[in-house]
Amino acid sequence: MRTFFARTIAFLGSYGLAAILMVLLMLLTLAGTLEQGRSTLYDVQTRYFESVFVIHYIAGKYPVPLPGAMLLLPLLFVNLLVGGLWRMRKGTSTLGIFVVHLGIVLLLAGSWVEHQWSTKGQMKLEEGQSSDEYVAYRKWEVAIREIHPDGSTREYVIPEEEFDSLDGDARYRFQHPDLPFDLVLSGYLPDARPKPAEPGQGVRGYVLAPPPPTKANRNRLDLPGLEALTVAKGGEGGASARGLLFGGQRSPWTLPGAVTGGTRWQVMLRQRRWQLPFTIRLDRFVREVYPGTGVPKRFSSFVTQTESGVSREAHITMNEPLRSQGYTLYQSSWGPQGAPPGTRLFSTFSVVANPSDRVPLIACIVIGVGLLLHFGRKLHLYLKAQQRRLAAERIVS
Amino acid sequence: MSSTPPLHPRFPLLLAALTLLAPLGLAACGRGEFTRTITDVREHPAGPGAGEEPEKPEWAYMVPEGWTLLPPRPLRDLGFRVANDPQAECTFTVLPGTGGGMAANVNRWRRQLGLEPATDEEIEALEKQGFLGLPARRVDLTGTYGGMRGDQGLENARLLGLIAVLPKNALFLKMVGPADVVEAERAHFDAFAASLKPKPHARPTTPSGRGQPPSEGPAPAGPGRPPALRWDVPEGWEERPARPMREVTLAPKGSKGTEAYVAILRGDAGGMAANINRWRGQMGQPPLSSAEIAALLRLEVLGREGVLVQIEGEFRGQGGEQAEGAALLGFVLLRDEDAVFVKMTGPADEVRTEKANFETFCRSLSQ
Repeated sequence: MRTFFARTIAFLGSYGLAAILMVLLMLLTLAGTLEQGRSTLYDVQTRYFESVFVIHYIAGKYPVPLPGAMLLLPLLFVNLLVGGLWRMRKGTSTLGIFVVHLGIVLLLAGSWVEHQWSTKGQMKLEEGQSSDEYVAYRKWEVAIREIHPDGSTREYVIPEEEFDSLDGDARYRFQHPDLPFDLVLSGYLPDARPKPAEPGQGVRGYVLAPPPPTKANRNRLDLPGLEALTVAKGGEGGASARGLLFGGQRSPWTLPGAVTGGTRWQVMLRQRRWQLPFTIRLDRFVREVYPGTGVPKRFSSFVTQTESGVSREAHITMNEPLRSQGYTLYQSSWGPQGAPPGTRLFSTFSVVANPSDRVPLIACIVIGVGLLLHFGRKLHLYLKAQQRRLAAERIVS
Repeated sequence: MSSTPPLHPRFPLLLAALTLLAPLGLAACGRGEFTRTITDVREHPAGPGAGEEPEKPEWAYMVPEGWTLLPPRPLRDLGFRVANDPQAECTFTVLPGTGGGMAANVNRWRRQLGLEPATDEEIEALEKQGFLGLPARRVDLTGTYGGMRGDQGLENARLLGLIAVLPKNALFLKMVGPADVVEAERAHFDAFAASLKPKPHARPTTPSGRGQPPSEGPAPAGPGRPPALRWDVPEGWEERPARPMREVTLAPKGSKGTEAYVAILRGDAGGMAANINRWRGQMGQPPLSSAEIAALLRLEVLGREGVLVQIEGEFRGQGGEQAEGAALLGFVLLRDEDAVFVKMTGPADEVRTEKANFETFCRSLSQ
């Protein structure tokens, strides 16, 4: 009688499990595709393909629980590892399939690495401007900025993962030895709109509330919001100040001098920033339009990349990104759109840091080699069999 | 015989239950206040925009004499100290969404002045005033001003305000202070309101302002932006629902087949001749020569001469719709930075009847 462990291994590596997973993935993909008629692409991506479970509503009414891609794909990975590699019968006849399975495992592993550790954002530059930062599309951070008299700044940054669970009564107190106060965050809303408050209510005349769930609001970028309160270090006595942090705010919240002891401090909720190990300067932006129209035909950027004092020039186009130290800069867009001649334009780059950037290419090559091995062997065996048959027919005749 | 002790038959079930219940337990631990230490600290050397306040390039306006611009606030677009009086200020705010709606905000201001809420009829009777080319309501209240926190207690205060509520944005212009100061500054308030305009190609800055043109994401966007022109709706016409790429869509009241609209395109959009002949092509008519275009009727609008054209024939719209016995009235005005188009289409007899109104409408266009 097999042990529980042996039975588990057999199940995890079975064809049956593989078939079930494939069918469930197909159903999940179908459900997610249909849901895009009622939700945005980002919502569907998050709910169906970045979750462990999802409730899909058929015709918007009938709930059907489905496993999410974050459950199915890891199981498929394990199934391939156990059944497609470890327990697979090894020999010349299965070598090609083994290599194909290896390629698929590599592809899944690369996708996991990208999901967990990649960062994506954008950088906008006007001609002559430089930057070493790129800004996330949908991730946020709270930054506490100290402005020194010489104009330099020091920022204490709290990433979204540390405050996006602060709904209801939950509060987190953030501290740092060099901060003259502690910052308490609460009341987080992933999508908020400020509304004028009744006298005596709200914070500085406003409250944050979720926007109505209209299709227009679903198709807009979410603007999070939360409440912030400065308290004395250690929480005993001292001046305090309350403010609202909102993703669409016009300017940072400047803290009163009584809280900061006279130094200039600001607090803001902003799209997350990552630092590059080099600086990019936009030297020239080239845009061609179709004659007689404002429709762009071609656009590209001539840039200078500087790192540790060493500069090199590069030309970034739609299909020719700049790759350096694990970062890839693609020519993404430009603006302002519809600008009349003579307007100073800016170029927008998509910046991606993906440790497994080349893994899909390598995985596809491995899969291709595996398929060549497998079908090449099949062809070879077929041709040999045909030769034997023809030889036998000649002997008979 | 196996040397591994057999597992309890219900072990897999217990393991599954633990796996499902564990996240609930962990989530319950997230209540209350917890302390965390910030680990991400970034230094930025001094440089252009390193620590400066972000610009507010979105609005162009005239600053009345005696008004002082106040430091920026997160949810306020503009703020001024009025007449150097510390108790008098004027603020301008644009909020995404409806901001609660017209009635809620009028009554919120009324409560700030210690007044009872107004009825729907009283709110409907408020004076209408154009503000940034939008229909707004003018609010004029006196009372004891409690301020936003309700603790100010300024007696004999007056509040002058304009509220415009759109589906995607709500705009508030409010001047409040001692009644005599507000009365003395009333003309300045109206002049400031009239001077306020969105800057062309305005881009909000990122809070860091560190050499990066800002993200366009957080700024309220969409057709809720104030239109670039103002106009008078001719008598007997009405505004129709907004449509993309159009400043306004109008039609004679009750008409189902006739419609007029205004569009503004950047640059010359191909030029006068190309657009007139494009319209002629839509009506199944041959193109005009340069000499024939030069002979077309001119109208003076927005300080320049534009060309008026009337075409009759079989209409073929851009969406594939067709109509026989149709007419098109068109007006093209080329300016330095853009081209203004006014176009009316419909059954020929209706369009002929509305020609005078069409010309009146074109002449009413203003900045």
